[in-house]
Amino acid sequence: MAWFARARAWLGRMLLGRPVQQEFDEELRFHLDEETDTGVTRGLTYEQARRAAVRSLGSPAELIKEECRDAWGLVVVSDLRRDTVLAIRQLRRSPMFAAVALLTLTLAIGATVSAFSLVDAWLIRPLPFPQADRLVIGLAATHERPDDPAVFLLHRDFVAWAARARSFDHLAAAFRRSYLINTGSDASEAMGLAVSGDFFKCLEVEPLLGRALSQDDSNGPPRAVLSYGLWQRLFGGVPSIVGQTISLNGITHEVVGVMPRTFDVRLIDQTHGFEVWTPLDPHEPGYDTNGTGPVAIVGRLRDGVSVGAATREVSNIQQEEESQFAEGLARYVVLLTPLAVDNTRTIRATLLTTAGASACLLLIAGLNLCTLLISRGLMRTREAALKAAIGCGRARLIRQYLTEAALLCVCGGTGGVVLAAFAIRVFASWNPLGTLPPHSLSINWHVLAFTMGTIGALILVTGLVPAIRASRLELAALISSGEARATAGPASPRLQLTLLVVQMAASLVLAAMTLLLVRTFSELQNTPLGFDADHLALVSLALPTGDFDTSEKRVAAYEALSSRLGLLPGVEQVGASTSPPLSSGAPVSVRADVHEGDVPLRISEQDVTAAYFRTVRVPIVAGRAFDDHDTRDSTPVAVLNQSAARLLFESSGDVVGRHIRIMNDSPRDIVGVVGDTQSTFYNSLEWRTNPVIFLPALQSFAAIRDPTVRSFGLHVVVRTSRMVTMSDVKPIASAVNRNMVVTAVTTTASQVAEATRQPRLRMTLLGWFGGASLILAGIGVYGVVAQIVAARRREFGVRVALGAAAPRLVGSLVSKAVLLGIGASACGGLLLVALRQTIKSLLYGVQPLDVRSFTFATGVLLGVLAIAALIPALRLIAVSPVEVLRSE
Amino acid sequence: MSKPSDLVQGTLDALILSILATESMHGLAISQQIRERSGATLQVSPGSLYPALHKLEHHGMIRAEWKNAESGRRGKYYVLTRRGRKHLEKESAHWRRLSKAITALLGRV
Repeated sequence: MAWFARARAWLGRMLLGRPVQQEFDEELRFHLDEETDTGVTRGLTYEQARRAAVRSLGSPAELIKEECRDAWGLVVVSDLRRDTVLAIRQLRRSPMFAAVALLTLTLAIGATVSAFSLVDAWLIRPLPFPQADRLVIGLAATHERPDDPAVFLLHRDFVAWAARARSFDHLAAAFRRSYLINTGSDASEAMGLAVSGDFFKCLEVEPLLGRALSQDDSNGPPRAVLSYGLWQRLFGGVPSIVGQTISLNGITHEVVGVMPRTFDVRLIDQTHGFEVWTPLDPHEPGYDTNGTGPVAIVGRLRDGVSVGAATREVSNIQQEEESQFAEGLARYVVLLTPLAVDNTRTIRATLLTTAGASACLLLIAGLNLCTLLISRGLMRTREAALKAAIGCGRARLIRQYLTEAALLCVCGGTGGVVLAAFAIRVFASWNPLGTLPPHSLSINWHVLAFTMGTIGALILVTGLVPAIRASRLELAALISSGEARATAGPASPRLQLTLLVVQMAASLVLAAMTLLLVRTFSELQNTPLGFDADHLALVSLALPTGDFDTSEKRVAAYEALSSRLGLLPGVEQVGASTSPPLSSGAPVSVRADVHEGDVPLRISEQDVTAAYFRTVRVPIVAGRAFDDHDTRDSTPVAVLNQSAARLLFESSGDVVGRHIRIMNDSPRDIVGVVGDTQSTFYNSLEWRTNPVIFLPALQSFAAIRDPTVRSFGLHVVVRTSRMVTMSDVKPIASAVNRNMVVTAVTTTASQVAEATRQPRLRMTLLGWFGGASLILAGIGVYGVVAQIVAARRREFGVRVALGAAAPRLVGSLVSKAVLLGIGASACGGLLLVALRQTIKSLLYGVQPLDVRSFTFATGVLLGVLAIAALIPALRLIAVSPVEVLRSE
Repeated sequence: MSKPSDLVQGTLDALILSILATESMHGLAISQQIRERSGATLQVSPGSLYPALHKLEHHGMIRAEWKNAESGRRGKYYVLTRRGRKHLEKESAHWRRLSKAITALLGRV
């Protein structure tokens, strides 16, 4: 019960009583007054009696008061307040230091917390499914790039896996479908996913309304499940949608359910989730037991089965299955990836770069603060030693320093959190990655705690060093040595210099990385595309197969459209292709000349109109382009690009007049060769010149080779001096055919920008980080040099008095800083060598150890250092030796 | 310097409690009482007394009340609590045992 009585007394005092000091003041006054009275009655004068009373106290009243307070254990509370006030006063006394330290902290904490919160939302937090880590997606990759999904698997593979694989609880096949949804008044496009029966069972997600699709839906009338977003957008969120019918690509589907808002499944880096799910119909060509329709295979791993083990199992099944077929996927490898990883391939590098850069910045900022605090602590050694000498306890001194450090940490941390919250909000609305995670973006408190913990520990440790040193200093030594020697402690400058070098090396790495990314981006920008991307508008259309079932109908629709587009102001030329610029088209099997039995090559194919090459301005290298005489009734013809000519005939010159055969069609005459154009390749940072075969639209406009396609895409290129907008195109398209959907109106220039989005983003972000780190390095050097100058003022004064030239002293200081920078550059260079493999994947057209970038970065670093050292060093020139010596 | 070297360590608390056992008293009176009752052998300076008083108050052995002294000034009077009385009994018993033992040893010399 002892603690209870004590707590009651303490609480009673805290809540009801006056502060102990105040009460004790009265108690002491009473004591002295009474004692004085006693003295006076003994015959002393009042003054004598009073003096005797004070003397009889035995110790100074203040000391007694402190001891009384200590008895109450109030010390912590009131001292904390006092220490805080003192700390604020100390910081206000050196506003430069306070501003720099707070800014550094805010920047570092803000940047780190926001960057890692993003990384967490994208890469670490599990997808919103039960036991999401067991969900994998199966695709096929090439042997050269076994980590990049290159092609979809085939439906027959899914059937084989489902029958024989033991690694999974559930397996489901899924494939994208582009759907035109006709709501009666308006047609709109939605990305859909055709799924096999176990898809929803595999994900273990319950629908919001109605039911999900199951095995029974594969047979029977067409059914569909809608996403929450689509339900809201097109049907106003009315619950009665379940049971109603909607038209998807002209086919009536019954809506059986709506998925919850959080349900978000994506395949291969989709920027947003699917909006409608339909059953894979086994009667559809390609989706019977031996069907070759493309699918992605989604699986839920059996508990305890690793991705590696499952991959080995399905690879064996795949080999056995596909080796039965001549044109199978046997030469591909099976790629099983966790679903979460599959969705973040393109942005992973950017996110990790940002996280790495911010971690680097955190390190630099931390070291910078250390140097600053140590400098400051050293300058205050005399103050601390004096305090210690006049009776300030060591614990008390340390507490005071700690309070200052904690105050900095709290203020900087608050600033950092505000900055991070702001940055995350800006990020979400700016959406620079072009895609947002399935989770909402918010500050990750674990990251915040970690960052604050690291910084806090750093500050406390460095804050303590001077306090401990000061409390050890002997006053006598201090006084006898004078200011100069007491401030320049023996060990710390070396520590400080080490910190500085590490910091500068890290800054150099960031700066060099920034330059490498700048060069990568400019390489990407300056690579000739092979066509003229300026003033080229791109109109993407989706034509439902129902209304446009023959090549003639498609050609007629296009011609009606292009003649109307040609009348828009500013339009010079209109052409069309089945693939947009910057992509190559779907691959087909091709044989050169007519050697039966040769293994066919897989080469991309596009159907283009006669005006296409003129419109995009691809040069004709040999022969001719298509013209209006290349029709169904004339000889089948083809045009190759140079790469295709080289690949098929091992020469690009004399191929005109030779023949190729696509699949089992009749042979085609090659009438011309055009220049190569650049394409992007999924998830890789480079331009590629792919071999392409062009076929004339009038002979086979979008002959549908894939039986599952329900609508086909047409990409109209418009050479125009003026912007073409959606509102220009939409009325034209609906005038041609109500069911024709304009999916996008854009420009090739913006497509180029989109293709270079990630490298540009990385460049911009690293630019900021690199700049910030250079500034921090500069501040660090400035702080240390300023401290040296302040500490050695006397020495310099004496040297100047003895005839040393002040400019030479300045020069020696600056050159020392630069020497330090050169040392740091060497360390940075070694770091870059160590990191070169990691860096390499982010670069295009430039090597990780690019000498020019490194030299330039070093130059910038040394420049910053020289300036940072020069500013405080110049103060030496103003030192008047007389003044210095007199002030001693 | 304010620590009474002639006071056995830890006995100051017991002394204060024993003096307060009969009546409530302010700090000065307590120190006078200690001096008088010990025949001026023991002297406690205010520098030791007041912190001790505050410690006892904090531990709930004594409580304080403000009332007018004979001079008419308001003084802080300390009163023994039940807890303090119990503690005093324990301490006195302990002291008696100890002093008997010490007297038995030293008294023969």
